Amino acid sequence: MWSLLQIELFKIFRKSRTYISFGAIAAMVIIIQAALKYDGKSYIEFLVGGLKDSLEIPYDHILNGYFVCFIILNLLLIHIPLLIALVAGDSIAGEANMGTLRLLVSKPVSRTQLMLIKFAATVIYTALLLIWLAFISLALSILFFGTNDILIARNDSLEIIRRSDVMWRYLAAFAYATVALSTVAALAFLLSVFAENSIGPIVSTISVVIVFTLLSEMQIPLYDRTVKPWLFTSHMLAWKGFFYTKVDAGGSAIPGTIENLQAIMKSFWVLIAYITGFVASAIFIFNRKDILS
Amino acid sequence: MPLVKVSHLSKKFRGKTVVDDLSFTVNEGDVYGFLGQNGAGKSTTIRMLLTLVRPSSGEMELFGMNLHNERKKILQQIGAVIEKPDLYKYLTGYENLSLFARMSGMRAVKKELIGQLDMVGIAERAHDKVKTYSQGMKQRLGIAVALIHNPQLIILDEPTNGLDPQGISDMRNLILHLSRHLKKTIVVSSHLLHEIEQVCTRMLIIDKGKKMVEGEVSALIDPAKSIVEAEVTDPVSAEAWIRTTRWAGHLKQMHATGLVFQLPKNQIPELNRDLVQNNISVLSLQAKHSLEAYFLSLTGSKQHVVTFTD
Repeated sequence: MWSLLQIELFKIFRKSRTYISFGAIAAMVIIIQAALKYDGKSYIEFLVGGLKDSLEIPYDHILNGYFVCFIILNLLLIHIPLLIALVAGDSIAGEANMGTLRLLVSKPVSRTQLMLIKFAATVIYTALLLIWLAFISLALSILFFGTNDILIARNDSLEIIRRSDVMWRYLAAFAYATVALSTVAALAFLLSVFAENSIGPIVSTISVVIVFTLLSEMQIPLYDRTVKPWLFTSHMLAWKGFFYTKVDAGGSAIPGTIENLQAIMKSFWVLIAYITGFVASAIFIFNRKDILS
Repeated sequence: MPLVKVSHLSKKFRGKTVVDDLSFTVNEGDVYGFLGQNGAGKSTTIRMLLTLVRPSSGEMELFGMNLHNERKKILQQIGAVIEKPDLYKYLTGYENLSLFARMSGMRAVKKELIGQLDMVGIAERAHDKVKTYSQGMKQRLGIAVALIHNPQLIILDEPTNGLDPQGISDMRNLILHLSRHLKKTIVVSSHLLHEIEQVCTRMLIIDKGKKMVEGEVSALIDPAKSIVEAEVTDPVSAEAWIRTTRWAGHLKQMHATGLVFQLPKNQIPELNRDLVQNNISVLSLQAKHSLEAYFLSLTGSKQHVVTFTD
């Protein structure tokens, strides 16, 4: 199994397409960091809204590496599924398109094993992409902006998390984001089984993510109760929950706490169920598929 | 000992029967020709042997084991080139070979891999990306991939497709080398009758998914009968005249540029003389290979004639 996984990773990382995602993320993160370095004050004013009239905002204090990283994640995590689909959608359909699928399937490896290996390689790619995102968004932001307490804006309130209480939250958030993006990878992987070139599954995955995200964001009461709880996109942003703390009687954040861990865990299990469903369906279909490419 | 035993194999795609109740056996040491026109069901049968396509019904036994139950063990002993040898174009030839060697369960030792590439004549280009290879080089690399794990049975589906005359000749020599010196059993499918005739010891002819005949090549071909294609200026009036003569029984087909006969080779001069004496302008008379004659006598449709005249 390990040897097969090595082969699969070797194939992924020898393809130039793989590095588009890493390059795109680096470019986007650096653009955001540069903008905040140049004019971070305006962004914070926009963020705190009317509160700036009643409170004295310590802009230099707020604009630190942890805060910049939080902003980057808010802006980027919604778009990274597109980059994940580039590789996951190519995993089976790309092989069919190149004509190598028939060679792979005629080797003494079971189709189920082949599929599990391919999906595992896709998840590793997803995790590496997030490690890369973590590195350049967190490490570079800390390097350029330093560290301090982090200000989290929630509806009409502001919450401050102490700098000593931040790092573990980021680790948890990145781990959760890996699961969330693996759901997108699993969807692209499933769609990849049906196609003989990778454009179809990539575009279909992106379309599904866009439609589901729109439905998740719509403020329609009927959908709030019926549709939204079951859309995987509704659960993909639960990583933010790691930055929502319990507060004491005086309204201050309690270090080391999470306001609603149960909600995060529920979202986590919904995503796991989606991943399992997508991958199991992909294996079921692939095992019955005639390879004619 | 039968290495491959196929019994009552059928495959339907969306209700259309592509392989129809096909049974055949390949014995150890055979160079087994799998002959039929494009669309006859050759590739589908080969894909079923390699578990790429699921049969609708029938049984396949290889090396005395049931393919459905012992898939992994069986595939370890098979090397195959299926239609075009498509490989990872963004990897080098060496990397491709190494990767598929590992997938076949063997340790990829550099010396062995280079040796294999050397055997097929592309060792000098081992570290170039496959996208820079010619079609012939890709075919050679495909063969190297098929042979790297030293399989007992080699399946080559249309191995000469896209090759130039030198490549076709090399492929023929390679098949003979594998059979005679390395004692491999080879199944080779082709629609090129001459290729099959030159390398195969036994053959199966299929048409529209059905078995037409199976046996020793030498026993099946009657060298006395040839297919003769006469290119004439006016095929319609030539045919009208032929129908009134003793040659009518030999006339197999008429097409846009001529007539096709089946007759002993020694009667060709006589046919030529009669045609000319009856004011039919003969542009050329061409005797085809004996296997073609046999193939036509079995299947004898217009389609086949078109194939022969390509």
